[in-house]
Amino acid sequence: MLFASRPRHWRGGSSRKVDPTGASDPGLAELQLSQARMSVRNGERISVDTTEEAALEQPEAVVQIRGLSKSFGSVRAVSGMDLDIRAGEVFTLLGPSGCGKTTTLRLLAGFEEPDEGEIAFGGRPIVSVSRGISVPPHRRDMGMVFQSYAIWPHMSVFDNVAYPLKTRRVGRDEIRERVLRTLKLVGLEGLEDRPGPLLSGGQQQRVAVARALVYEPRLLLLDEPFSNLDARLREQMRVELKILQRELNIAVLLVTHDQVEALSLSDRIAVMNAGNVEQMGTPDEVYSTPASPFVRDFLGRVLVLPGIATSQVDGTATVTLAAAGHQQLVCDYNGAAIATGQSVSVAIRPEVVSVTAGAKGATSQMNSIEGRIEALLFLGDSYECRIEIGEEQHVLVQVPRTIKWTEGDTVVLGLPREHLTVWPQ
Amino acid sequence: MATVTTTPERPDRIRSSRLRLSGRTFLFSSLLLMVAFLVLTPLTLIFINSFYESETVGARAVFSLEGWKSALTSPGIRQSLINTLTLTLARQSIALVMAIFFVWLITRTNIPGRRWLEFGFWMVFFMPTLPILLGWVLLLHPSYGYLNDLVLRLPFVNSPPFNIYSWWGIVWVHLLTGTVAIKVVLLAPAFRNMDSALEEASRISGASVLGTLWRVVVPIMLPAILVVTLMSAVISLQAFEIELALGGRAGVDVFSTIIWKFVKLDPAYPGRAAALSILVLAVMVPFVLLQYRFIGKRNYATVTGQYQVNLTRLRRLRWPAFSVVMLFIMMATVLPLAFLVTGTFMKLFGFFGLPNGSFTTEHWTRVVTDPIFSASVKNTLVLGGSAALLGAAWFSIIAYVIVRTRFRFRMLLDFISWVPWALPGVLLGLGMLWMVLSIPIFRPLHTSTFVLVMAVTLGTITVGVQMFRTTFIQIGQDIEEAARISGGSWLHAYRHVLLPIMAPTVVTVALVTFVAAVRDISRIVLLAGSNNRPLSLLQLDLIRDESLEAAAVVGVVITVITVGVAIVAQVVASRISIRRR
Repeated sequence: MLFASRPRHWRGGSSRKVDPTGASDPGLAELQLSQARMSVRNGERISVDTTEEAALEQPEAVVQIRGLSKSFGSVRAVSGMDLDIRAGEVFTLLGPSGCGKTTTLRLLAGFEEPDEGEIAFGGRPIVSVSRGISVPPHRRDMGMVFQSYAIWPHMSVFDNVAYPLKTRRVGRDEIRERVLRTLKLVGLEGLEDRPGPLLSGGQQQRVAVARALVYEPRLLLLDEPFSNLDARLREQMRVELKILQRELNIAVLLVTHDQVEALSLSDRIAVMNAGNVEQMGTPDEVYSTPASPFVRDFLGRVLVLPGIATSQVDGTATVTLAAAGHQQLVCDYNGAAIATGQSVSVAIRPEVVSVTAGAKGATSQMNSIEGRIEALLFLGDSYECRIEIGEEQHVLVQVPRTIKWTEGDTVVLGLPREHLTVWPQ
Repeated sequence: MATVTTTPERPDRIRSSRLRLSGRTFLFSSLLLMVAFLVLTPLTLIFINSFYESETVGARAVFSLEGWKSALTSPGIRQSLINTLTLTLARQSIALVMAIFFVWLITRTNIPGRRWLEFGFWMVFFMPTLPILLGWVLLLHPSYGYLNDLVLRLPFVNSPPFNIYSWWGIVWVHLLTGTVAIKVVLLAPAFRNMDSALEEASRISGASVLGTLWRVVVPIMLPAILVVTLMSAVISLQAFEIELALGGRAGVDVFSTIIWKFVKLDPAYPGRAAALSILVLAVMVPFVLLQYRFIGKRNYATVTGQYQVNLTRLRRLRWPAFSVVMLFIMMATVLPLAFLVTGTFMKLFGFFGLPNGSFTTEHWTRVVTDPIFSASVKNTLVLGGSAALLGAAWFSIIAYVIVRTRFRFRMLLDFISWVPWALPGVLLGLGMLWMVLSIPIFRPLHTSTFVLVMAVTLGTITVGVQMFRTTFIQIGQDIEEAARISGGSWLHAYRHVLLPIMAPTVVTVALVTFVAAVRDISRIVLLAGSNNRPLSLLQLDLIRDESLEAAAVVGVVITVITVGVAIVAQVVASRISIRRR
């Protein structure tokens, strides 16, 4: 029944469009998006704005959450959350432990009851506190991969994956066909008879994914799916999951505290803190233009330099640094209003800071400050370099190993204007 | 040079260590021999005496195969063995379903007051059997049972539907007096330690709450369920007092009541009792060996890895589920006890509507002023107290030797501590009786309280040693070693490190032994005489004499002692463990 009513294209390919009108190809947007992300990593900035395209598309929302709140005792785990998860996108809830991301996921899956709010799934209300609606988890038709994978130890791989089909009373032959097809999809061909406890961590995760996908749900919930894997396996599974998601074009809600995971897998990210969504946007947006100090500091490393705003004109501010010989920096900003004379801090991601040997020349056009190498740590592919830029003021940056650095060298740090952000203190 | 200077010291060191080693070995060997003697002598005597026939136990015997012939061919004996098995099967299968359902409700769901409900099952577990049975006699007696009265008031009901003196009556009382509760109590920790994600994965995969229980929770818990069922089945096979109290009128005999009849009633047939005992042992041994293997294999490692316990929400069924569990606990405790107490004040047990008023305090004054009663109270307290002290000390040493030393025969000691588990209480009592009567130096012990203490202590040796064993394994060698490396002597380490950590276990084992001693009937029924008879046997005799009012008074006293001591011990144990934190 379920299978027949929702045809889906396992092999992806030509019919990957989500928009029923076929007006645009999300695949293209994805491609551009990943290009955009790549270029950020290279330290350049390109002007393709992926958000606008995403906004133009407006694919249908698979999940709509409105005014969702949940408290445990006096702790507000989730407060007044609104968000949509669109068809075919990877939507990530990112935040530190205790920020409410797992609670949100569990509210969506039906393992917790909210205090307030509504959730619609596929256009159907599944939770509404005001109307007294609460569909139990087993009737929500979602797929979920648990942090511990929750592979049932008393069943074989086949039985684990077949379980959701058995509960839906699918015929024997069809179960067999679909389980084997799904196992092939996740790369577990030939392991169907293996007992659950005899699987490695990576295999367990694949079984968990297969079990979540086998009945072709419209939404896949992933609760910290990589946290139990070692670093190398984590990278591999990340790529595989991304490819699989593209292929199946399924909407995914990912919950993670790992910003690399969130940035690399997501189409959109909601950064959560203390039960609230601090910022929602594409990975590029939340990384490059964080809306709050929390988002800025949580996503990757950041250099923060205190100073005083000495002038501000048309979205451009000049900041005199407290350290580095009161060097002036010119920054673009479009955040909160900043008054002249106000104490501010200037933030920049360390990977866009350029380090050049030698003293600062008078002709330097870029925002640049002078510093002295205090300590060098060889990391293999690069050096980690602690640079003193004034009394009690250091910055930590990575520098390529192609140049022979020595501790005590004087260097110039280049701080590109477009990457500097100004924050009131 | 160096070798020259150290050479003279070497023999000394070796000699001293060898001396110490042999001293310990001597100590452990005598422990082993003592336990082996106490456990194996009764068994051997039963075996030998199965080939003899005499007028009473210990009397002059003549060689005879009559015992075996009768044990193997008598239809009565065969029927008793069939009854033993069918009664066990019936109540184990019913109890298993009930216990799984109850334990799941109180550990995995958001049923209201689940901590209190679990405590309720502990109370059921500790309830003495015969007082509960008496309470239910008042409710289900075929002629004056209160429930029968109620049902008879309904139209179209012409004959009393319930009769406690029946096969199902025996099953019913067993279900309420421990068969269900022991499973709930023992399964609760295992159920509690399960990762909720296993259930949630099933829910999100489309299975309902009960579907998840059936397809995921029960199969994952199957190893624990098997061990507990096996254990409970062994206890069921050994049942005695309920069958004796109810089976006589019902015409239902089990092997243990037959053995009791062969020894206690005139004419006595000790040889037949012995032969039947050996037959029963042969049935028992496979069960116990199976269980010994399971427990031996059990992995004691504490649960590691991250998992959370999120309770399954019962939604609208929360309170109905609570009512069902509460109803069971009430039926096994408060309801029969209320009727028991009422019964003590009735002129005629069970008759509520007598013309000149139904109630009187006469039974209390009669029983309490009777010197037999006060002697029995004293016997009970001495028996329970001595068994608790002796058990706690003795079991802890045995467990320590098994877990912590390299004593060569420690596995033998472990195995011997398991033998009494296979011995039905009546059989153990029979063996002890033979030992006391046929070995001259033990003869003065006949009908002494000391023999009773030995019998009940031996009876709880398996459980007691296992409890200490688990604690020793959990404490880990390193804690003790850490204490010693920090500079303390062995005694100092024992006193300040090991003992405080073990204290809750010591209290629990002492409590379990005390309760077992106070409520025990089967192990001491053949050993006790009129001068060392404790309350439990007094009550049994009163029930058999049909003085149910007096039996009810004694039952109330037994219940008060048991529950009182259990509560005190709980408080003490929780105090100790709080201080530990």
